[in-house]
Amino acid sequence: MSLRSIPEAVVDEKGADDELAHACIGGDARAWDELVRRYGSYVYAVATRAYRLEPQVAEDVFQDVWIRIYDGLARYRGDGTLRAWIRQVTISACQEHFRRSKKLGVVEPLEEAGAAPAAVTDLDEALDVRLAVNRLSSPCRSTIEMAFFDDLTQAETARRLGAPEGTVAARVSRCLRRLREDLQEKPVQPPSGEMR
Amino acid sequence: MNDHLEPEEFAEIAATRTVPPSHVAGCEPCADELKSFLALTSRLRAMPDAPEALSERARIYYPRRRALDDLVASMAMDPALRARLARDPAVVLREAGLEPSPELIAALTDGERDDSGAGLRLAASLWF
Repeated sequence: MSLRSIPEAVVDEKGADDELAHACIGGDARAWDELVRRYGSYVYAVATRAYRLEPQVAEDVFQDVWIRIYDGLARYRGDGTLRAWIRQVTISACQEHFRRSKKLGVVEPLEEAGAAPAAVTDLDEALDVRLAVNRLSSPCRSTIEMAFFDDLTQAETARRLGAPEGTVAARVSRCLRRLREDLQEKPVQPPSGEMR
Repeated sequence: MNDHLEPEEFAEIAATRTVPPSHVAGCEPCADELKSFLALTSRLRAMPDAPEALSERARIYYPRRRALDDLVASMAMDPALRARLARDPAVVLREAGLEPSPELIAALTDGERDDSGAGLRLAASLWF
């Protein structure tokens, strides 16, 4: 199945993910690229932000995770969600790192084997927002990506877009409003530890 | 006089992390609206992009592994290919679009291969 057949504005994440997984199994390199684009930052964030791995270690875990995803995709049956499976693969890779390095206890201990720490739940919510950004129009998407994912200042974003700062500021606000509208079906709650 | 802010004004405050007008603190709907936008921008900042070099290596891994898997599958079916690989592994690997690294040659060469494919996966992992 070709990635070309996947609608640009996909609301059904599981349906889109299952289609991606099957396309990857079928040899569609573009589907794999999309998988990396969709989940690469999530995998890296779980390693660096939830498990607080040093960048060099996180790189090793990131590599390990994508090799496991490649090797495991053929066994993915779509019973759960692809995201849940990737989360579990990433958590397992992080935990194995700690087991190997005998540094268990450096980060928040897991409540039970295989359970994700609260920080991973926060990252899942951040991923919901990131996937919603993918559904925005192209100008909105690139503006939000520069302002928040690349962490550029407003002046830097304006320079890169070749637009006046005021225009960029207005666009960021407009795009945030649209993004929130898109997410209204699934309201964003304050992350743990903030805005209590 | 209505001091309520427009949604895009709340969005701007959240995006720029500026102090909201005093009206917001005493207006529950406004405070809730701002809280919603602050939660949104907090989520956006919670997950920056993975380093591009890392993502690129993950992207490149797939076509190489596919090529390697195809080669291994062909070898299983084709004795002549196995013989060619034993004779001149670098040529066969290049024809398959693969860089003939010493680790990959060792993993593919008869006598060095294991049934689990662990050696091949290890050699492939060096592409990262």
